[in-house]
Amino acid sequence: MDGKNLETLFAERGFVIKNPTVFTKEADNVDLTELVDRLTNLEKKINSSANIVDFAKNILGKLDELESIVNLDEYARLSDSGKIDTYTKDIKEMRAYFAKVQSFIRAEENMVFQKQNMFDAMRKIYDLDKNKSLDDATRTSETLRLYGEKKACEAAYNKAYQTFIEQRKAYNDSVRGFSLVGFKNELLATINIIQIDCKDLALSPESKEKLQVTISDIRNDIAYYGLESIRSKTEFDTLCKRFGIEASSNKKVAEITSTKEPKREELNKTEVHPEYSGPVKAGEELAPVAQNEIKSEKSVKDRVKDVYEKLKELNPGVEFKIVDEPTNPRFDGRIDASEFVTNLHLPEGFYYMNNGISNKYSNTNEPVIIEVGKLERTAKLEDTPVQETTPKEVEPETAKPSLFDRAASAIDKLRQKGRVESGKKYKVTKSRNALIGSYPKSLLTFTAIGAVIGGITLSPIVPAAAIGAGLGAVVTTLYRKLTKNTDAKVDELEIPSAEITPENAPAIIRGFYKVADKLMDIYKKRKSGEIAPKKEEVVVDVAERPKTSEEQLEELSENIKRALAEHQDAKEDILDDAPSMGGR
Amino acid sequence: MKVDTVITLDNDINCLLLEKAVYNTDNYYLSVVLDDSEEPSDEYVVLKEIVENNESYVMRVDDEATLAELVKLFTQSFGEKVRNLPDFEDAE
Repeated sequence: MDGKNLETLFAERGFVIKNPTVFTKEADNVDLTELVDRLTNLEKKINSSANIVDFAKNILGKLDELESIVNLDEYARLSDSGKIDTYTKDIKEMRAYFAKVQSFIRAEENMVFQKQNMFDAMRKIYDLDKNKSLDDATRTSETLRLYGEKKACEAAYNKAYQTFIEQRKAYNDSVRGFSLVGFKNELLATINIIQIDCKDLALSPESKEKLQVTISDIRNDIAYYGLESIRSKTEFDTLCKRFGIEASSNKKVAEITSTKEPKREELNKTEVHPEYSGPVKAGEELAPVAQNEIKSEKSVKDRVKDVYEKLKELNPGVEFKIVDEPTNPRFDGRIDASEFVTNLHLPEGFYYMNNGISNKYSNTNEPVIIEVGKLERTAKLEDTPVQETTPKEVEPETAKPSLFDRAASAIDKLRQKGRVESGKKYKVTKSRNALIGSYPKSLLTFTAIGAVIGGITLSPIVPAAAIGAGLGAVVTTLYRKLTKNTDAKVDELEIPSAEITPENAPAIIRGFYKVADKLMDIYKKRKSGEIAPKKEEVVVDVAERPKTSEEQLEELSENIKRALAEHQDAKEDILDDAPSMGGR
Repeated sequence: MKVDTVITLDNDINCLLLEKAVYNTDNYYLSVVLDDSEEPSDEYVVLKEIVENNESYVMRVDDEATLAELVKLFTQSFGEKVRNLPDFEDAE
């Protein structure tokens, strides 16, 4: 493409070169047409109106569901009316966030409806042509009626179309300068309030469960909404900076439309109203997307590496290692740390989440969600280069979730959809004695306390150090008793008593979670006899050697003499104490 | 309600009561939920005992501050029991 065409392309797409030196330097290495296409596509993704419309429809539908669950519940009428009002008000408040897009959706639906009516009227007129059985008078009368109907439908459609255009403009205006992160945070805060409202309502257990599931779905939808937009914006900004390009000031990001005529493969919104910037065509984006995937992945990897470097800086005593793949695809990467995640000092903007850290709700252009796993401390902290991570070393860690993770997930499960639900009063219908040995019960109790600590230490507000230290001492005692007189050993529990301190508690807790299975394994093996007690060696002590028969006889004789003497003394004492009986 | 018993709740869930703690004059139990085959599951709950009209009810404790206090008490009581555990051969 020559310079003139490029100039046209830049002008058409609304880009200007702001830094000629940077642009000239970088332009040699790329196809500029592809670059402009890429930037255009990224802009579309950043402010995809179709995306927000689908999202809004989805959330509004679920809000309707929340309302109907309560309205249809027969126990709900027992609730305090003020609390029902609060619940309704908060749902209304959440709907208000979608007011503009809701009007836009309604206008669009109305326009489609009116258009359908117009087509129906026209079809009836065509049918009239085909109907040869009608007499002239009836045909005339019917034609005039349908003509009137068609005109009315056309007028209604034109009005609906005009309203749609106005609503679309209002919507586009409202999303200009729109902060996706701020919007999501507000939605999350509101759905949390609605969840709190639910707790105050009298509802059947089924309805409560349905509410929880729906609220949880809404929260997930909000959390995952727009992540692609954020990533696209990051990439767009990076490319612009790299090539010294900017979107021209007279171009509104929210109103980007493709200069190419969209294909009409689907009967969607694009077909109904040509001006509407509908979903991006599949064919148009295929090649650039593949390129984007690679670039984004690299970019995310770089971000993970940056966080890794920052973590190392902020936590000098802690060992870190970047792991190739996270255990869960929702994470962008994984870093293993020798400290528990909540004990780490995090880079600015980051916060703790379950099994990881993130900055996605912070005001950042580089959102990233990182899983933080466990790393066994090596002897030399300095000798842990990032590249030394090998899949073989990582496999055991990633393949099986740690006991801590399992405990945390058990706690989460109980909080949300557990069989013993939160906030509900259960009647105890029966009670019976349990037959359980003291050792299995102790192991079970240890695991139970560990699970509860695991749940509460997920929250940084609870200082669990002292609790951990206390449990540390107890489980060490249990371990020593369980392995007494055997060769069984759990390295992690070979802790000198002096080291079981509150300062070491987080590490102790971590260690104990890891070995709970091992303790249970030892118990089972002891029970089955697989681990047998060691035979005690008989140490023959000279002082306690078996006595010869002569010695035994001599000792017996001495004992008899002593017994007789004692008997004689006792007899004399009795006589002394009873003077009248003897007549003395 | 007492430790070492299995209680059945009105939703047919069985819970084995492992430890008891008294906190602010209320009774709390560290429990494990039993599965259908009466085996301990991986669900652990702390239950608060509520007695009304001579009938026992339980409610799951979720408040983290209360849980933190209760864990201390459970650990204390558990520690006492572990110290008094007989040797393995004698116990089993």
